Amino acid sequence: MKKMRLYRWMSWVLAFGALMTWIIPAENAMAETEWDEVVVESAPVILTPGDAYEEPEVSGEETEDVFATEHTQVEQILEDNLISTGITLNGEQRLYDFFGKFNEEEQEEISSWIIDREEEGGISIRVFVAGMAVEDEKYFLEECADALCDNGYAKEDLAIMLLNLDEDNRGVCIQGYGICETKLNDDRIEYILDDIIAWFLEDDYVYGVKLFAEEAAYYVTAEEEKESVGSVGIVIPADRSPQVPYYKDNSFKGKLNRMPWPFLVIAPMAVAGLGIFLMIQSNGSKKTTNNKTYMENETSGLTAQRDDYIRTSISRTYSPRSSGTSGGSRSGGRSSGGGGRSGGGRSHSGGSRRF
Amino acid sequence: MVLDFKCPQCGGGMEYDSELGKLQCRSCGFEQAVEDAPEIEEDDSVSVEPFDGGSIPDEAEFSNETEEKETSLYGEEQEFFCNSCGAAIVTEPEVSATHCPYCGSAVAFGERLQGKLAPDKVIPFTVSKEEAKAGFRKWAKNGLLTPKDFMTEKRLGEITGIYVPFWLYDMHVNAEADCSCTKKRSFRRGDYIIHETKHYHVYRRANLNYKKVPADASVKLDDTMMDLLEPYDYRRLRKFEPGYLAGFQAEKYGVDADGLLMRIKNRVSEYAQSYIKSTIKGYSTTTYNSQNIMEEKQQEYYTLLPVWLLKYEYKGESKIYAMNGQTGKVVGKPPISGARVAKWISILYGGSFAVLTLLSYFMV
Repeated sequence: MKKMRLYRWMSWVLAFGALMTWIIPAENAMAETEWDEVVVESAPVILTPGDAYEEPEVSGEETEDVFATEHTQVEQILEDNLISTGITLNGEQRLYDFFGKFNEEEQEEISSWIIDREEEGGISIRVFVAGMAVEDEKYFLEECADALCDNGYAKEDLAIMLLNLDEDNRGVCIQGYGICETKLNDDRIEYILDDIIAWFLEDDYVYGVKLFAEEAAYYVTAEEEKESVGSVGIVIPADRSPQVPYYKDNSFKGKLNRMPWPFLVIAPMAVAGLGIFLMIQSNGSKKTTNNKTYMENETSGLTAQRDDYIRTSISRTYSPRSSGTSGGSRSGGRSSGGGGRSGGGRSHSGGSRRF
Repeated sequence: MVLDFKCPQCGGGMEYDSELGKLQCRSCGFEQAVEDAPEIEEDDSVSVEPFDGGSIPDEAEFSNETEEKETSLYGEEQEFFCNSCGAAIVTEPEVSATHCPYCGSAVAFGERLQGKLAPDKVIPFTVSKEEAKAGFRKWAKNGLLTPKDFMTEKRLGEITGIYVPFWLYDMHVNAEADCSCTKKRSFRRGDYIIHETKHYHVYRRANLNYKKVPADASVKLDDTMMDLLEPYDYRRLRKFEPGYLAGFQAEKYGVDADGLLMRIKNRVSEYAQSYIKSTIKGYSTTTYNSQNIMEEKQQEYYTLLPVWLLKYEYKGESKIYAMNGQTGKVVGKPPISGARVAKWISILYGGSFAVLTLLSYFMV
């Protein structure tokens, strides 16, 4: 009897372990779910003739007016910056410092760093430093992206960052175009912002900008074999362990490590515990009679039944539909920004944060 | 009166053979139909009404401080004499058939099988002793956690075939239930989720008949164990003949039919509740406003049902295992082997670890 009790206790403990094992991964899975959503939503949308996307019908005049109001201002900002600083958009420059934040040495360091990262990622990376209102940031970057890509100064696969140093609107805005729209999706942009903001707060702008370029290239090449990044003191923070599901490590070891090791160790323990628990529970005899075993079917049954409808009560809860996305990017869920479409028709991902 | 089962041909002892369904002589193999075996003669003793003790005054007085006589657990043992060898057979009072411990002849005690104690029906053994042993061995072997040395041949020798007294009840049940039920559904309309609840008033009345619901009337055997032996196949139910007992032990009932009626009423009441519940379908929720269940006994049958019993000592622990003597179903909790538990833990752990590692490798 004592033995039986011991075994039963053992199985309860193991069963508890099982429960905990399933709960913990379930929590982690939530992050994965979000990631999955992002992947699905940012995948190219295939339209059939029947459900083709239709641009909202607005009169030509109105369109012109709206466009003129919104974009002329932004174009103006870009133009003003270009004129006032004497800088011209070109295929060579990686850092456009309209604010005069970086000295020549720093500019050179950053540019050469970005060029290396571009080679690594096979994309274009551009950084703009300027001062403007927060609401202009997104359009400013879209304008810059259109200007760069339309003139062939940058690839269509473009990761672009604005460092807004306006005294009242200090912040960073990042957008991803082309392949960067999916590789550098809103979630990953959030991760990048998490990392770089800390350096801007420490007034280490060079490091912050370089870290942006490093991480942008890192995420773009995330499916290739790559265990760590950074060679000149820039490192991806420690919590970017291989099990975090925003990139894949395809080495043999990496493949085996896709499940966190505590899960790999505890889950089998839980399976064994559950198995033994069930075996002990089923040890012995089971009841093989039920309420029909002794019932005489010919003389048994219902003699009367009623199912009278009385009334219907209705309650409702407000649950707005999640708004649809346009341009293949995720919108909503971020207080700091999101994707959109540039005036030149380029769809992009995005995110921004104040500091 | 002691009944014995003598071979009309050689005078040897006869026993009931579960395969033949007849009595067979152990010496010459002569076969005889059960109905032809000796019957219990009517008791010709004078029948009297018991005295009313209260109306008879004491005629003498004695001290209360008398020595208590030692009695057996279930009442006083009684002595009978074997018809074959003349030896004295001492039995517990509930035993109605057994073997003579000296000559091995099958004997039945007429006093315990007649009058109110006369069984109405019997289900004869269909599982022979050898089949029962094999059944126990197979059952032990199938147990994933059962020790290897459990149910060895040597220990299985102590297996006993016993006719256990049962009361079978025919019960009539009137069941009635009044319920409030709802059907719920939710659907979306624009930015709102609509929850619709339809309310119903539901009534069910059922007339149910349960036939031959068994309850064991033995005071020695565990009720739960006997319940687990069910069901018996009543198509093999026969009119009682003492010949069926030849070669087996038998007990007379220790609890009368009224004493077990409440147990049966509770059982059929549960059956009826579950029947009513099964007829209330298609609702999301059911709340019982009232439920009336009236059970009524129609008839009872005093019946002997066949059971193979095995008293088993394993590592200092004594356990009883039982087998349905008709269907072969085994009841009892086998011991658990620590080595086998360890083996299964390592198999399950190793197996699931390997599967998870593989899954991890192929994970997208």
